[in-house]
Amino acid sequence: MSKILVVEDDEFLAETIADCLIFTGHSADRIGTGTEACQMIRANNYDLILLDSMLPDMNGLDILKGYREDKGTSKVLFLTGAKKNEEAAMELGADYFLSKPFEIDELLSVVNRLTGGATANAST
Amino acid sequence: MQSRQQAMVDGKKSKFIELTQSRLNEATNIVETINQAAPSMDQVNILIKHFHQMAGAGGLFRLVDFCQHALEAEEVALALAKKKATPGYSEEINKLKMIILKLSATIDNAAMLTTMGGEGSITPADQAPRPAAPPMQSRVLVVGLSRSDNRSFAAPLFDTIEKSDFLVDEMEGKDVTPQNLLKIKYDAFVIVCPDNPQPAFELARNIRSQRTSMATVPIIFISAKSNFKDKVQAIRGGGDGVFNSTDDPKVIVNRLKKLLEKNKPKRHRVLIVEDDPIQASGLYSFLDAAGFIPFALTDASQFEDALVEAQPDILILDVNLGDVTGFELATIVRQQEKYNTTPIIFLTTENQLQFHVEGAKHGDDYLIKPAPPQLLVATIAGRLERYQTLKDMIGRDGLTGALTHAEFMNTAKRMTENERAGVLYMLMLDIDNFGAINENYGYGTGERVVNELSNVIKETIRSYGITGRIAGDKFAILVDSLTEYELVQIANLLKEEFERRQFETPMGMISATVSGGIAEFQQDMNLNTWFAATRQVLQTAKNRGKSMILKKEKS
Repeated sequence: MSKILVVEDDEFLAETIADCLIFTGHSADRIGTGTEACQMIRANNYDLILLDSMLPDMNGLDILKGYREDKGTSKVLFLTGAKKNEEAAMELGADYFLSKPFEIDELLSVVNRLTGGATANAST
Repeated sequence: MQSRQQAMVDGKKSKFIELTQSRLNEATNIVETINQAAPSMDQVNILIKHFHQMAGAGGLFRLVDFCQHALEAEEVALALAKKKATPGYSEEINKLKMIILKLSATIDNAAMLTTMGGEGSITPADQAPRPAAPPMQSRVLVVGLSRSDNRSFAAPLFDTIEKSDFLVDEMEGKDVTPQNLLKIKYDAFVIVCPDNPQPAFELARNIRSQRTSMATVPIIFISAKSNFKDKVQAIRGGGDGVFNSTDDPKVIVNRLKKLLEKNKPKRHRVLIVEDDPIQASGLYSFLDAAGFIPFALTDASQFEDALVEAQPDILILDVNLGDVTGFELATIVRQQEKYNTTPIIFLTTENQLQFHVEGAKHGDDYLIKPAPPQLLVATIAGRLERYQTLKDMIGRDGLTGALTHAEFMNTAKRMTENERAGVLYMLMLDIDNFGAINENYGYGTGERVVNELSNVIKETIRSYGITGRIAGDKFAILVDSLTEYELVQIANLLKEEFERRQFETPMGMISATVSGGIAEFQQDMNLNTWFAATRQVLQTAKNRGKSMILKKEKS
């Protein structure tokens, strides 16, 4: 089981992703604004952070940049809709990116790869 | 466990559909308000956010078309935001209306499928059988390499293929047999050559010799050592690309993408004009599910814009559209040269049957409303097939089946204007001393020689290029997916192959030779200068003694 934070302002999307993660045996928190996300990732030791590129108050790239500059070591999966953000995110220290729209299976397989494979078969 | 997860996802999907339907209602209202008064930034921002979130979450449930439309809508809304309150936003409003209609239709369709129990459930009898939806992701098989292979290019290659939205499988060792390779219908193969690459080429040859659609499946070779001879053999064996293991995996995957793009069956574009939104959206979702690319228009006054946007292969026009009739729209269509043979199907009610005679002038078929979906699809498919055959015949040369000069030039023009096209090359081929062949052995022999050259072009160029017969004994081939090196190799193979062919004549067996010139399309060129440049290279080949392939020297 890995501890995961979902930073995404679309509440429905965030909820769906979090539920799927919980279903596959992870724990998942979710948060919808950049300011709160910055506090959460510093206060908790997440194994993985799913970070959306476009938040109402901040840009995901800035959050990532600040986090890595502060020597934050959690893995970051960057979620973006724009091609130019993908490269920027990888340069700023994201561990992987997914371009929206992505499918649930795709997301889960990437998450499992990044977290060292909490398995979909984790019995409940 | 798996099914419980599926159940959860299905629950989310229903919720998403519900949420989207209410968001679309809100969007419709906003668009309507904007239409009447200048848009306020708040309203436009809500639109942007709605469309953005639809696109973001829609992907989770494999609503590919829906996401595409939502992204389009987001772009239009962003354009609207840029214009602010300046006048002249009616174009965006109309576009938005059209896209919202599409979005509603796709989401309603998804809702219907969900209540029916999702994909794979039994469709009710009154529904036409749905042609299998095109697969969302292409399946690629990597042969002779596993992800855990200790060669350093393995992991990045697999990662890049996956990142590009392909499903990737691997097969290596004893599992690699021609039979196993063909067990699943893969969309493409990446074959990693062992030190002795012969078995790899053998596999490719076997795939190419299949009498099924597998014969044209893209095959890419990756070899660890760069070897001139191997590369030529790989191309001859049927490879669509040869790369080194040190090449950037992105480049390899880009080639793969391009090849897959070409192999996709064409989806026909259908423009529906129907003033009743419910019927329009019903037709839309039905045609969408049947594999067409539908465009629905409810406001006939926007017809000309819609025609430009939709670029339809076929039109479905309601006869009674309020202020205008479908026949009048048909007249507009027929006035444009581009559409004067495009099939038109009219939809009419029983009591308008007397109009049929009038419509026969413009249209191709009638359907009485409500038309059973099966009949509609069958009619469209039938019309399109006839139209396509006719169009192909007009554009193709009777003897060789290559494109005619005019059609070739049209295609070339489109390619040079397509900014996304890769590097373009033109190869021009001309049979040497063709006049003498005609004079000495008769025109029948000349015809056979030309025909044979056309065959050899088909065999060697295959799907790499588009061939046109631009004069009696002169062919031009457009190539956009080969490097110059590869094209030169293939052109030389072609030349050798052609020159080996023997022709029977009253004076005994003869053979012929061919010369060729290759020129790359440069930024500062237009179609005519490109054509002239290629011809110039061909002329140089002729001057230097014929029976050779030359390429334009870099200036």
